Amino acid sequence: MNARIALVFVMLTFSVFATPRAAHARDLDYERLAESLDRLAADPKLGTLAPMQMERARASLQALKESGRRDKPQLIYITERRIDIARLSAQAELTESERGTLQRENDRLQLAAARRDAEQARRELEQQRLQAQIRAEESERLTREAEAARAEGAQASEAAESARAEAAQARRLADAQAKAAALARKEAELAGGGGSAPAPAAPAPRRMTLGESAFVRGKSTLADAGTARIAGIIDFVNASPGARIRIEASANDRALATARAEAVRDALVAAGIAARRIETVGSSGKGGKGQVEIRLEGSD
Amino acid sequence: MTSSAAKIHVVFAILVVSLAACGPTKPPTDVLGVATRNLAAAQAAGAATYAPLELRSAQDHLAGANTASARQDYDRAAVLAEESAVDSELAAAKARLGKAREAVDTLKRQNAELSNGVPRPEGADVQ
Repeated sequence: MNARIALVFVMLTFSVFATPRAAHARDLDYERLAESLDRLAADPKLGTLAPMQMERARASLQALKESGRRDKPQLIYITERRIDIARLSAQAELTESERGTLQRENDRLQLAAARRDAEQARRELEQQRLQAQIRAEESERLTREAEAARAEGAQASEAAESARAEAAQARRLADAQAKAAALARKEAELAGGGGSAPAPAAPAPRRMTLGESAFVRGKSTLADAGTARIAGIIDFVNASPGARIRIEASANDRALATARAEAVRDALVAAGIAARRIETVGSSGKGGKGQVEIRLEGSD
Repeated sequence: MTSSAAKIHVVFAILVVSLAACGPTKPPTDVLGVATRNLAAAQAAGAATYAPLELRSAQDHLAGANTASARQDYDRAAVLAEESAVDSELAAAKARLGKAREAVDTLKRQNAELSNGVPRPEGADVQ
């Protein structure tokens, strides 16, 4: 009998576990979750993005549908979360895809910005290079100008130097000329003074003589030998252009002597010697040698 | 009656065996293991920041599962471990989405700055 009672008890217990609860309550939970999952699956954007999670949610929903009363709360809990996981996973996929797009755009933008920066830096560098070049050229130009100026200065000083040299030379020349003039003046003074002064130091009269043979015998006409001598006398006289010329002739006959002196004078005048420088004297005497003496007197 | 009594005994024995088979007799180590791994994965995914409630639920359920398992209430332990595992999955998914959204927001801001902050020279190939 004990066994029978136990059997009945067991049967009762089993029936309590096995008996489904009100069918409509289970359907509500299931339908709510099924609808939620279907909505997600039908979502044009999210529906296909998390297939594995969707599959697991669907399996969980199926388990809920087939579950007994005892497992139901847990399966509802799990199914709810599986659907959430599927939705979140799909949203995450979508967001990550958007993130990828944005990241690519970001890369492009950063690249563009980097290019801009590089371009900017390149331009600045180029500008600096140009400025440096301009400065270098300017400094080179200044150097050239300075060199030119120096060269000009050197030339100018050279010119000045040569001018100075010329001036000095001119001065020296002038000095020399002045000195020469002074000497000449002094000489002239001395000469002038010499003439008037009774100086015993007066230069001795220089003379040349023409012998008797210079004339044709007994005549005042110059013989050929005399004519030849006259040329030497002209040179002698011309060597002292300032001197007076005294021509003294002597002969047995005074008239002949005078004629012979004048004949010599005429020869000298014919040679271009001024007649006023010339004085002629004719004398006769016992000791007359019949010669003509030409003497230079006074300063040269 | 002996034959019927024997039949009853046989039926009873079958029922007992089948009932015993219904309840777990050893700790649900596989489910507990899954729950533990999922929790670690959710934490690694940043669930503490992006899905704190879900993470907390996963932790509570796993703790309850371990407690039940220690109590040798293996049925309850398996249920709680399964719930913890799905909590962790949910937390991880939420964290993944949160991170992605954050990244998208950051990128949108950056891109706006990049394309508006500086004037576009020579019609740079933006977009």
